[in-house]
Amino acid sequence: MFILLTCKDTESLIKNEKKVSILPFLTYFYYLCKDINIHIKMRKYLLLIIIVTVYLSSCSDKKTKPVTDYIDTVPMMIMQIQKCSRLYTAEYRIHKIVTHDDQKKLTGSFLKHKFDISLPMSKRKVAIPMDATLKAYIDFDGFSESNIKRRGSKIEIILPDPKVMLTSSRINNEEIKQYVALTRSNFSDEELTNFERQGRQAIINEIPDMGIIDMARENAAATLIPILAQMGYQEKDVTITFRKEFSIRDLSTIFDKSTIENGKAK
Amino acid sequence: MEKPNNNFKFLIDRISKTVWMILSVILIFGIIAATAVIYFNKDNSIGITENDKISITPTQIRSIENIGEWEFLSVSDEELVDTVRRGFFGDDELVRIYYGTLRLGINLHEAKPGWIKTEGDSISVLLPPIKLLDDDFIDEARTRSFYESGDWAGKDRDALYRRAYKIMKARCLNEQNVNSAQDNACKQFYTMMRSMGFENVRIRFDMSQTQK
Repeated sequence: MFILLTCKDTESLIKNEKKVSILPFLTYFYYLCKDINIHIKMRKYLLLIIIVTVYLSSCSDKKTKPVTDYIDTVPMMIMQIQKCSRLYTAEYRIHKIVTHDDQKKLTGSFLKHKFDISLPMSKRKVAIPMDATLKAYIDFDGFSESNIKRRGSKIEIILPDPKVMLTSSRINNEEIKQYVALTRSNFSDEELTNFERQGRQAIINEIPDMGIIDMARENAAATLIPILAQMGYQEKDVTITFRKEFSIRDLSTIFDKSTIENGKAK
Repeated sequence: MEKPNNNFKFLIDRISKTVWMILSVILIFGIIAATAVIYFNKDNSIGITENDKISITPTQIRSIENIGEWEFLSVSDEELVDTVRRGFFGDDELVRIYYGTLRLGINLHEAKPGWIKTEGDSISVLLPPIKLLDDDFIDEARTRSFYESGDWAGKDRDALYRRAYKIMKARCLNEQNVNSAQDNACKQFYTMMRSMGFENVRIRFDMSQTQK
């Protein structure tokens, strides 16, 4: 981690120092007047002047020179190491073509009437092919005796519900197709990366419809049962159970389901 | 002194009531028209808009695979990679930030037959070696463009990707991290086997297999 002390920080420190520096002089002057027996009413006025001066100096609207924030771009690398225990059981390879259609439009309202006019010769289109890898895993972190139930020769392993992660993605940069009208500029790198991020998010949003969780459960059983068989258990005596970890978000789902089951639909 | 006032009064008296009426109506209509113009034009606006959202397209599943990868250490990394093209009128530059996560662990599909042996309350586990579980570890769709000047083609971006890949691999796939993953694998398997009821647990790694 790097902490950057920018130019702006240093200037603000100096500015604060200037504000405070008037105070000791005025205070010293006040005590000097006290020593030379100036009238008490005069001293009260002097005290008032000191307070007002300090207050006004702190509120001064003096504008400092506009400063540039310097950012050190070289050591911008962060590495995060995390110990974990995850059994990846299912892998989906996904392909998506992200498209973007962009036309400049003149929009606004005039005399309470809204208008939306497409400007001629201002169309741009881009298609970005991308591949992504989704993997489903069972988190074995915190696996303990409480996850195992034994009844004679039978054994039941209780596992948390699988989770899905987008582990990698690849943009087919050389296959990106762009169509740009004469009056428009090419898509910038920033725009392209923005569309790619949106495409990535679209893949993540479609995960619930892919059936990867069910497959991960089946594969987890297919991976763990042979291991338990090697430990001396009969395959028919092994049960793998998945425990759903409920969150606040799941509450609405539970209520909806129970409502339908009880025939009390809205 | 009274002469101008008298002239003014004389002029007012000469204007008939009809004219006064017409003037009043014009004034009222003028006020109404001004109010209407202000009312109808107060929300006037004009601007050029641009769509920055992607279109909805289908997502294809290319392949589904049953895997048995056990991850014990994940190393998330981000790398700032840049490229410069020297030119006569000035240099072009492209700077991007790449994100990736290297996952270290064992592939259970590479375990040799009989990798778990039990004898009473003792168990011996021979694990495949720790390796990089997936060679594709960069999440390129998360990449951020930091700076761009000039025009850059897809092959330039691919070259940057390959550089980021090499840097991340060199930085994260080191002996220290492999050992750390190995230690964690031993710890996790030991805890698991103890939970299964085995008193004596022996964990080893099969070093005869080539390590990537």
